[in-house]
Amino acid sequence: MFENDYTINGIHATHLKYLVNDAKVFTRYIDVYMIAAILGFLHGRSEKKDNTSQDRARIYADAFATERLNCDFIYRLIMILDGTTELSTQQRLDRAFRDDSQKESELTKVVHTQNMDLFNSYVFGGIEELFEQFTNGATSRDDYINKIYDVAVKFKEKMEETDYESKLKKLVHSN
Amino acid sequence: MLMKSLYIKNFRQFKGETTVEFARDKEKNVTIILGDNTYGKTTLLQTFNWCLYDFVVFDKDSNPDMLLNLELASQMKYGSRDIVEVKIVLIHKNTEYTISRAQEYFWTEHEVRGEKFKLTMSYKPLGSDGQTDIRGQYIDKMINEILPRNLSNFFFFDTERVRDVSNRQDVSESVKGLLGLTALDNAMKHLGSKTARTTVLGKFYSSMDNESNQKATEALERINSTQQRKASIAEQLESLKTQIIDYEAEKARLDHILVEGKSTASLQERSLALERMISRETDALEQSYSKFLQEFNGGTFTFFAKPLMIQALGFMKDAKVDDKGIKDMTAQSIADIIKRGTCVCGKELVEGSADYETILSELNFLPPQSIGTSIRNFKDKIATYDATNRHYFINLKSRYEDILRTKTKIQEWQDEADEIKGKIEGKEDMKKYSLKLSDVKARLKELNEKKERFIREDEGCNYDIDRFQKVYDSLLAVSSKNKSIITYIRYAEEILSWITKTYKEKEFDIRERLEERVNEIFSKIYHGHRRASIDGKYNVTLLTMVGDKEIASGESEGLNRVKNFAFIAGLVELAKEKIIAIAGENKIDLSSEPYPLVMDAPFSNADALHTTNISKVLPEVAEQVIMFVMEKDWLYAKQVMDYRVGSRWMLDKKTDTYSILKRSDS
Amino acid sequence: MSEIENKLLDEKRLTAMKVNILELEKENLKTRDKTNDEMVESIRKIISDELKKNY
Repeated sequence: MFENDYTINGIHATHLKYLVNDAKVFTRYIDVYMIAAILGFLHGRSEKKDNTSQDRARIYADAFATERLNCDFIYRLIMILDGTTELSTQQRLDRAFRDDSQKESELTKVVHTQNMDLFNSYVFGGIEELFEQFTNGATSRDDYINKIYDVAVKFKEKMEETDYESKLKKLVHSN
Repeated sequence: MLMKSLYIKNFRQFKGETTVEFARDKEKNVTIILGDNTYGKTTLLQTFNWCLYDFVVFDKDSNPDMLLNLELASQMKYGSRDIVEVKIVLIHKNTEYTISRAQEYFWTEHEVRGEKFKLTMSYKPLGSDGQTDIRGQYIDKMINEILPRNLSNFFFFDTERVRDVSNRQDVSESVKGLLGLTALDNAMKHLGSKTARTTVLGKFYSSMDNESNQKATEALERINSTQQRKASIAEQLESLKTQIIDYEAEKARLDHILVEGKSTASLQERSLALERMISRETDALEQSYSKFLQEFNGGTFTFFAKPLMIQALGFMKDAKVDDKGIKDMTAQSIADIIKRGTCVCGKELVEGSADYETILSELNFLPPQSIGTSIRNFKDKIATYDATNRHYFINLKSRYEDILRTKTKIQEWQDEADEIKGKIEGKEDMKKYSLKLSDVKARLKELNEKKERFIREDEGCNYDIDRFQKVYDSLLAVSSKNKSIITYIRYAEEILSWITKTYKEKEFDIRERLEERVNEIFSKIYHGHRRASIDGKYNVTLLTMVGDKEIASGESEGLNRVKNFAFIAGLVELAKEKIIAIAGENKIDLSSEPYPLVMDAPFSNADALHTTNISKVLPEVAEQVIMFVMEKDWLYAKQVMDYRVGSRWMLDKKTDTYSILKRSDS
Repeated sequence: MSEIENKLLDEKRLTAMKVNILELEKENLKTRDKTNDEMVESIRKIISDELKKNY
């Protein structure tokens, strides 16, 4: 996996290109690809491949080669944690660590394709999340940067589980 | 805050210039304004609202937007201009503030029109001489720190309006706003109930049945309405483009005029220097933006992946995995060694020998035979990412702060540059052109921003149309959706019940306190056997004991007024506490500031009994009192209250459109 | 059905929802930006987004 060119279609391609070329929030398509996978999964958002327009964006094989280790890592993370199927613990580990390394039998080829489809569906969902969160209402460079910082701060607070209880109390008793 | 004086020019029926000075002396702190109803009392109260907050409340039928005196308006001809102005001088925390709002009216062929108003504010510490101006953008904030708008109608109380039943709703809403309950109230309304279809719960509930059909219909409606919006945007963009062209032409004309005007050499120099500094700093800003984005692109996915990495470690801990492989060794590595025929240690590998078998068995611990190796690599990777994560956010934050610092510098220099530009044109006539140019530039900026917003909105519409088209084309399985919705409903109901409980507690607590205050004040004025009780709609009823029951008893005109007065005074006390608490949040000195009370006199000649007590209670209720009194009532009350009065005025209604306010000696 | 009803509500998510809803209401009091329908929609989204999250 992650050995060949990969083409993204339709509205997702449009948004991917927007994020890199217009808003200039990300440097390369591959950067968006990786972060979209994470964000899509974090928010439980998966989308089907989109065919409503002829727009396309291609990520080349050498981009994947540069980021191969990271892509493998993210793939494994999602394959371990995704709970939308009926697989057991052992089956999930197999899916994450074993299914990709042998492509001989037809059965594993089919299974591997299914896994990649699941992975990419989170990528599509993540692209939509990125587009909505980072660009909604923003028009200038300054706006985008403020939005990025805002998203990062809010996420950090959530991670550190900043005291939500006292924040709530304050809201109730203030003017 | 204490009122010092009020200057009115041509505001509604007050034609010409009128100045009222208010009594502030500790012993004589009452100002009375004599006059019957309809003489101009409501208008006087509205001068405060207009000057401080730019709103007025006049009857719909009385042409509320026309503030200029009607007699003057009817006399206007082509070219004539009149000014409406209200200027308030007040004292707050040992500083004297002057606030002036003025609006120019001029005659066009069809009607008299008002131009945009001009608002100025300046201050000087008590006892000193120099006035300091306050910058335009800070004036509203300053005013709201002295007397917040949402509390102002308790200090300037129009009793006549409140007596009208339809306005009781206003009082109850204002009191809720005063007590900070509106947000909770709105949240409850929005959450609603299962049966109210336009509320959160109603929507969740109704979305469970016929989900797909309803969603599809909704999506179709959205597509249609969005397309309509696109058409409307296109129209507005056209009109905007034309306007922008006109204004650009005007700007060019004014620029030309100004260039030819006289300028001061040194200011010019500073202006150029600032331009250079700003341009340098703007470049630096671009750099900061790039650095920020660089930082961002460097470590983002590991930052967001952190919670997932933690979960994955937990998951793998629970699953039993063998860990016996050698790091980074793969099945391919083994195959290569075997092909080579020699082991890493140098020994020859002969097929079938013990060494050969040993190497082959190593395959058991490598993918694809065993996944333990991959898992080890994976866990190591997580540890590496965790280390980089620690610095990611700190670096991002510091780059962001760089950006803020640079932006502030640019803003300060820009402000100075704008000021200088205004000063450079020193001559009277140049000032006018310079002002005009500022207006035109501001308008151009507005128009261009509007244009950008429309363009973006149009793009957004395109995105929306795509999105809803997709929804419309797909129909989701209903049953799995229903499961999630049931959960949403449970959470929403839990939140609603918590908010309801909190609201009730808060509201009850405050209504109790209000009732306490009102009764405290009431009992000082009225020595009978009644007590004031406040219901859920903030109506005040007087109760008296008959036998062992408390019943509402009839009230005389005088007693009614005393009751209203006690209610207002109680509200004002709570409002003052609120202001002090707000000030506390802004870390301003918490000392108790005095506030004025402007209202109808709470006595009448009908109830002689209370007037004496009221005059004693007044100084406890407010440090400065401004009262409207009818002549017939004052003739009586004078004997008892006159020693408190420091300033006397009289409203005289000449015609329906002309009243005067002048000092009175009575 | 019963398996859902037996699941306890997650306190942390509940608190996060309350905070977000109240902040939204207070902000709207100041800016008066959104209509009632828009507020209802935003609150719906706050609840469903919070429950969809995987962290």
